[in-house]
Amino acid sequence: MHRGGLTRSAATIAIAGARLRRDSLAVAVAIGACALLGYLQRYDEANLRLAGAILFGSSAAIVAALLQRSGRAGHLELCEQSAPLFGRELARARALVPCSIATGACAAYWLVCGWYAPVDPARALLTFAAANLAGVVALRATTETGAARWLWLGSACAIPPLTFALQQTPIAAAIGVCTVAGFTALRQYGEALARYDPLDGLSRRGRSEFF
Amino acid sequence: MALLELRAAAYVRGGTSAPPVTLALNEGEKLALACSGEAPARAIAMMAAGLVIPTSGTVFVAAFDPRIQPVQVKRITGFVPHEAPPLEFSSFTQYAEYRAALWGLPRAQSVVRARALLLKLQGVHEQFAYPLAGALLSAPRLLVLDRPLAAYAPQILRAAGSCAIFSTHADRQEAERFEHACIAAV
Repeated sequence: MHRGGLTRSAATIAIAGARLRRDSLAVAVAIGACALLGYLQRYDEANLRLAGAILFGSSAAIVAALLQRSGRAGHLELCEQSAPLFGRELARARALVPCSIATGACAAYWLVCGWYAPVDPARALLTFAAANLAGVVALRATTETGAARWLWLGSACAIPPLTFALQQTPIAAAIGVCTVAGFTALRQYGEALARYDPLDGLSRRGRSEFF
Repeated sequence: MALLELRAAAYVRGGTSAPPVTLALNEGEKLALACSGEAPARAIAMMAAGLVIPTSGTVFVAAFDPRIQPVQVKRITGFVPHEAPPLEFSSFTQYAEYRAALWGLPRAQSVVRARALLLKLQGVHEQFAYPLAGALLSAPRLLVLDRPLAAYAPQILRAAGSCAIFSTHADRQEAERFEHACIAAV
């Protein structure tokens, strides 16, 4: 009854779709907020707009990633854990959620800005790369506890200023660095999910942790 | 080789601990295991389903070791939890489609099969019936139930068919009640 190769993309879409549906309010708020911030910054100078877009897009990505934390998704998470999927497949599917939200938020920001003033496409691309990287790094925090969790979250929060500093180098190089770092973080997340203990997540569900 | 084999498999991590368990379950057999509480019952059920790795001892499902072959183990087993959290789906069809996508099953056929399974589970509360139908959707060889109600035993047996059933229970009385209900239903 199993279909082999087709399983993977269908599972990825199903997982990401179900989680995005569950977090639809967060999606709407993130996109709406970034559109509003884009409107407020529409006449600012290019560097200020880039800083704003990276900061707001990354913030949306980090919040979206933290919403994927263990113990919050209930039955969805148990279905994902009991499905015959490798850790990397599960990581890819879950990472699509904050990445979609981050991409949507950045797109909303630049669309609104672009309505009033010209937008440099290379700088816009850097924003997308930074936000997606922040989202994937923040996801890694959701599989950890204690100091390791804060370390990963701190790393995610450090990405916006680091990316902004990287824009002094050629933009293509900065985008390349973000992409390579993003794939490395995604791989790390996949390995963490493969080792993940669902009983730990279940025991955390009742606690009043912020994330 | 037994379909499910636990060799002194124990779980001790965080606040949860399950004592070492040794058992073997063959194809088509049913086994209700009495545990020393709710947490051990949950941990043992999750170990048998390949969702949790034992901290000591070994678990084999159809000769696959969940430590190194978790995907193969999950293809063989279906797991139904005791807690029934609210489903994040607007309809049963949507839930069946989601499960089918995760297991790589044909969508339309799976929806038809899921509805047929649900019909066999008449009288079972939907918070237990939906996850059970979802677990049986991929036609697993081993169904693992975490603390199922004895009252649902006839419906579970009807829906599971020839699939081997391993259930864990919080105490001996619960396990015996479930076993008697299974015997009465056959």
